[in-house]
Amino acid sequence: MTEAYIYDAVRTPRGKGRPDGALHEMTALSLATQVLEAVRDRNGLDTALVDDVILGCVMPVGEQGSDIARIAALVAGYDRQVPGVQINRFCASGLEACNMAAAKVASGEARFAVAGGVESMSRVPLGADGGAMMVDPTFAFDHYYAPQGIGADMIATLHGFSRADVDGYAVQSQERAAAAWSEGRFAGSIVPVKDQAGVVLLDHDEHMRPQTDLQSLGALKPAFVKMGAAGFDAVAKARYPDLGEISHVHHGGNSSGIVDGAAGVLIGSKEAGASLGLKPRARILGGASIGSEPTIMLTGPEFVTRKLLDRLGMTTADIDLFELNEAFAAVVLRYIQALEIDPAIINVNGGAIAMGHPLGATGAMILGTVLDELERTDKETALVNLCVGAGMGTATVIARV
Amino acid sequence: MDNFTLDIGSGGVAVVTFDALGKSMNTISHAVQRELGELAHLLGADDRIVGAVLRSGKPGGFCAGADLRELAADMEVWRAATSQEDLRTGVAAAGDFSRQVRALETCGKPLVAVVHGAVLGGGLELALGCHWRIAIESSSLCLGLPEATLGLMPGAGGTQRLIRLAGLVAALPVLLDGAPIELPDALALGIIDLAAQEGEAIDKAREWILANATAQAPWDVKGFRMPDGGPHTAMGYSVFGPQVAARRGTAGQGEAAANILKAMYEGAQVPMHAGLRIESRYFFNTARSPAAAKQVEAFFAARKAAV
Repeated sequence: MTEAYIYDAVRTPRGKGRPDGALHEMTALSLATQVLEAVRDRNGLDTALVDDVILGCVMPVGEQGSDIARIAALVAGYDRQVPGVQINRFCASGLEACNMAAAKVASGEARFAVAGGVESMSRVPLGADGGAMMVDPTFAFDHYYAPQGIGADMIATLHGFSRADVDGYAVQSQERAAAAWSEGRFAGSIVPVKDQAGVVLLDHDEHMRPQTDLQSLGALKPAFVKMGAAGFDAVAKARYPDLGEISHVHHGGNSSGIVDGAAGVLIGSKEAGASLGLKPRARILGGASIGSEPTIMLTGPEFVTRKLLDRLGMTTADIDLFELNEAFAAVVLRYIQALEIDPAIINVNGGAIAMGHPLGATGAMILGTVLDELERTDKETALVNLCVGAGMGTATVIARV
Repeated sequence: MDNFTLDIGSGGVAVVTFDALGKSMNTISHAVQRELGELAHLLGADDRIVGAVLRSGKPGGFCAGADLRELAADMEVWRAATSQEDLRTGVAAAGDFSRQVRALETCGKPLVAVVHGAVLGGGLELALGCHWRIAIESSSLCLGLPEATLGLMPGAGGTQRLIRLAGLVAALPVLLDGAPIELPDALALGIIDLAAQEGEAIDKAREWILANATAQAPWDVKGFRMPDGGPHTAMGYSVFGPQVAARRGTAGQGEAAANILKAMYEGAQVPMHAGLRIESRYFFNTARSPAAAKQVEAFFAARKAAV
């Protein structure tokens, strides 16, 4: 079987996902287009060799609807023969797009595929796509649906993470992100977003709060108390009779930030790369997804990591760097606990708590981030994964070449 | 100020007369733009003033729009811009008039434009930046946004205020065809709020100001919604979309039409201040296009031939 290589990975900076955020006045289409242009222009890519553009987008309605991947490919001036597909595996969509691209390359279906994602959360807000999950009793009642914030608080309760634990993790995310930015560790992958006239509008992650400390976080009220009282705490206890009272520890400061952004990864076969004189940066050893308990919804990373490493004949000891999306602090703390991972080798440059989580794009962003870090520190292997809505996990293992 | 005079009258209502120095018709020159900024500051800061009427001292009309000679020179500079610094400077310059109009709109005092004769392009945009508009009924009244006919587009809020007053669909022909707007249509679109006779217009304006001590444009009121809902609605998909298609199929306007439509679509989805920035960028893109240069040059040639 053909092997799939990563040739490049870029991302936009992340703008605050609010009407006063820097990227609010740029369409999602423009963000996706600018990423596709950068992937082409940085690599002298003959786009006629691109056999698919796969973009994650979790709210594919309104301006993000109608298969934004194909539309962005056309607007970016890719060859007309390049198709596009928009996919949705919730928060892991950007990484799932990379796994699909790798599979297409591995099977011989694609020479190159551009994978990534886009989400303008300030323009197409969370929940805009509706869905049966939250409201149809056939699922919500019969399968004990609870929102992710409740799930995150359930993890903290079940596995003993205090408010100080989750806030401490959040402070670390801010510190690591600030250090990474100040040392220019993201510089090679950031594609500044340009406005309608071509003027750079944003060249840094706008959501960060480097001054965050335990005291400032301590002042924030837990965000999911009211939601719990509305009925979801009861659902959680019905699902987990031994749970006891839920300890609501998560809030805006220790959860992923709502932001706008896009990312793109150029994946291809060795032959396709050689035909353009491109040097592969990493090989994709494999990818996997898994389903996990849907009420907590956020425990998939542990299980998908075990599943993928088993299949690859590897153990956590074979992985030099881990990247797990910081959806909520307890998700990462539980992962570290369950897999006995050294906290010093996971999310080393911060994550979504500090920099934000543009739903459909994040998976591709953190894949690029960890690849940059492997190169910077001359390490070999990395495992990237995310927890996923409705109880899932998606992971990818890469190795430098 | 060389181009405006200000008289504070009864009840604290100021009458501002636009009377461009040494010209037979008011146009929006660089000097006028600077003074509009001063005017906005002055109106906001002077506690004696409760509101202002903006009118023209020229018999021919309120304002005929841009000072085309100055604009043509700006366009040449903008066309040459390639570096980030030059682009940034160019966009800022292209948005200058728009920012002055916005400063007037947000100066905190109610403003009424009393317009007559030629009310064209930037002149109408200036009036749209006021909170209420009275047109003096006369056969010489000529309202319109003719920028597109010169390969240009409104750049001082015309696209943004019109879509918020009238909706995307009703605004579309006004912005893209550039044809004169008949008074009944202007009243229906919200471009003009009241038609009045020459002798009564200032009094009517004063009455409105005294009855509306604080003024805020409707789009700056929390909860404002686009009159026809905006592009991502059933209306957008079934009516605005096909009209975009119809314009693609109409030869002639090219880049200006595309940029007007983009400014409308994108501006309709963001707050006013962001919409104005978006419009300024598309105005800059349009003004620096070779097509616009050619059309403005042809306009000057035709004018010279006619003299």
